Amino acid sequence: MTSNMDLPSSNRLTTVGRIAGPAVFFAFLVAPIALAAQSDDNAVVAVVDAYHTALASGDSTTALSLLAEDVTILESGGVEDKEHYRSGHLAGDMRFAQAVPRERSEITVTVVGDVAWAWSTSTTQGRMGEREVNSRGAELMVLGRTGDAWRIRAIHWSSRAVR
Amino acid sequence: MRTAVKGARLVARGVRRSAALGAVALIVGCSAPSEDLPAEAADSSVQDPALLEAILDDVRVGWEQGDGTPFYEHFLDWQGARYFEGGGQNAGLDDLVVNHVEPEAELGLTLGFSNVQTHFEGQFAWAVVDTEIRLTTPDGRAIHNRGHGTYLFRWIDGAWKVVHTQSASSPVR
Repeated sequence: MTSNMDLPSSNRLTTVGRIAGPAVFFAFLVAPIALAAQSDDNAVVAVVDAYHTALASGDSTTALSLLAEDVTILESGGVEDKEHYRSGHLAGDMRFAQAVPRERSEITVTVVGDVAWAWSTSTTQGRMGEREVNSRGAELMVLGRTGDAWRIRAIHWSSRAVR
Repeated sequence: MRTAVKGARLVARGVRRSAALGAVALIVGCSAPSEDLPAEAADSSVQDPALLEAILDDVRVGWEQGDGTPFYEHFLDWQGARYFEGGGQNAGLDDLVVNHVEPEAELGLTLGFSNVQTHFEGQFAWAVVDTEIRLTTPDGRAIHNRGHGTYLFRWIDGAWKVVHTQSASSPVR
């Protein structure tokens, strides 16, 4: 068994070259790609989080700004476009988010070019007016990237009561 | 000194070799399967709503008949696959077919899909569909629900594959 330090100095440097090459390859080519993918995932999660934070703080302007103009929102058996959501469920969603605590799982993100989807599950437990709420839910969002900005193109919320 | 220069040359040679490898990797990457190509690279014939509608109809019939065949044909069986209904989920294709599709068909399920709305973004697509469900539970309760489903697709190896689903419905009043 021969350690590197037992080699003649020129061979040691050869070994350094062999090690340095792949390291440089990783540093300059592979690592940026991996970091970019991680960065995309983080950017998508940031938009999803910002949307929920806006709902929970009653900030309708920010919430709407994160929705693409052609967004489709499915919840409670209904389908809404952005305009209908603005004048329809948005106010109720903000009241609900402020009144009832929600515990969400980690968000799972898949990015395909300039489109991504993000899903998570949650449990919601508390009281909304006179109504006791105890439900398990799932959230799916489809996001699209325009320039550097990710915007929500579709939302599907579903839930069922915990028995 | 000579050794140091020689060493530097060897390091440089290693870097050049790696750069060449990198270039090859980039070229190979560029000619890899097309699912990661940008939106404008997608062939317009690929973005045909009828392709997605045909898949959804196969899947609808598969649900009614408790037949996993269309699911195994049209769904991408991948590790991260999740299929949500209401607040519940199936993890993976086998779980969906064995624990959801097959048992539900035994309850006399009839499933209607209508008003299919499709969206294409390059090698990715999604469809939103209105659903109508009728079945009778084992204790004799008649269920009649309406709701919606969202199906996500990726274009893989020359076909659209379902990669994620979410659906929810509520009783018809």
